[in-house]
Amino acid sequence: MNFKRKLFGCFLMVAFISLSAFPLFAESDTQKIMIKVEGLYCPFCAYGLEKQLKKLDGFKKVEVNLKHGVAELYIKPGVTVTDAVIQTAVEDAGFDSATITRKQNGDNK
Amino acid sequence: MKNNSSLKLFVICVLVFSLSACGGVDPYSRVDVYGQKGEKPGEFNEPFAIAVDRSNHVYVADARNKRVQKFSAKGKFLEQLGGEINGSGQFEKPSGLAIDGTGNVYVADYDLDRIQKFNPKGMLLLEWGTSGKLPGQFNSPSGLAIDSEDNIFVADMYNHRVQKFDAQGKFLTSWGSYHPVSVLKSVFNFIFSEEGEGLFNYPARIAVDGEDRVYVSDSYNNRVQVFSNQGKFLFKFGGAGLWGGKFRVSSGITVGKNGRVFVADFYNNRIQEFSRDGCFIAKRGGGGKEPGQFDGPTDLAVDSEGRVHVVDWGNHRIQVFKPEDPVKK
Repeated sequence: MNFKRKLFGCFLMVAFISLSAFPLFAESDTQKIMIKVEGLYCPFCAYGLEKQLKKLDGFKKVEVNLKHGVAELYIKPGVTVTDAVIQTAVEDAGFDSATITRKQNGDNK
Repeated sequence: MKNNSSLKLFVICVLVFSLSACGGVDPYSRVDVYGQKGEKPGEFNEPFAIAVDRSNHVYVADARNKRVQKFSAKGKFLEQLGGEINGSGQFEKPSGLAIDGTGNVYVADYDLDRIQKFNPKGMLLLEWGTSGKLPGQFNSPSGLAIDSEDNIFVADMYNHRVQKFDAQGKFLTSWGSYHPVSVLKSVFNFIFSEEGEGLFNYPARIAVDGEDRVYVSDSYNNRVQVFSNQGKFLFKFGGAGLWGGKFRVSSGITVGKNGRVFVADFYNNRIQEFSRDGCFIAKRGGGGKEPGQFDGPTDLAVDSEGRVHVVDWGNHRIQVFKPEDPVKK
């Protein structure tokens, strides 16, 4: 009986480790970067910001929230995008400056 | 002396505000609405631009769905151009529309920096443009208009200029460069001289009237500038503000057959009507989700019956304002 329980426990551990390596879970390494931009008011300029952010290495997705003046940028795992690079993209989109906040191991969108 | 001047300025401001605020008469009382957020035919995800052909078919640039949808005058879905990006004839972010006299449809693509021309059956005829600042290149083209000779005018938004092409996409001329007007001067432009004629701050939309005058929505300068079709500055109107005749980001612009100019006023959530000389006539709208209210109007077009079709961007729908007496329009 004890042997069966230990065997079942081992099985659970192996299953957990295997699932952790599964790509679905690896997605949790996607980097989420919050970019708060002054003057991000309308789609004419929000689309401009999106366009610049799409050009970044590792770009995965961007969502712009006009009401809060925030762009949520998702970068693929393993790619480094510095604040300076993001700041340049923001300026190329016609904005003066941005406040950048990073979330490590962000949500798996 | 200084106190007297301040008092005069205050009185003038109050008078102008009061008169402007109640000066407009709303000529439209009937509103039709169609569309909602979604991906299905007839639904929208951030509709952005609109145009009407001579048969009153309505074309809508459905930006997030990467397509252009065609509707009857009553809002019945007919067909679509584009879909997911897949080379020529497809879109990444359709941002501007115009239709020539024979029904050819021109589509500007904000992200791909190009213009595409389709025949009335949706077949791709021509495309031109790449990213850049040189003549014939674009940086986020977002407005299109066509004159009586089928020349194409492009509001090249991030290059702060207007470019003019012939019907085959050959570059003809351009004008404008970056110049932000001070907000104070813009608000009080009836007192201060508002500089920068012929210069722009993110011109987003463009229209041509029956006399081939070119109206440019100089969006972040909160004004409209009017030019000859050769680019000669004629006059301007607008300015930053809340009251009638003022804008908070002027967006879509169109001219009716009678020369009336309609301008979408993005952040004031309304459309405004002006005479052909830029005198304020009426305003309609307000923020909200009810018929007749807006969440960021981005473009509009007038059909041959005088109906004003407005892109209600944030509400993912089209609203059609019908004049009381279509004959007058």
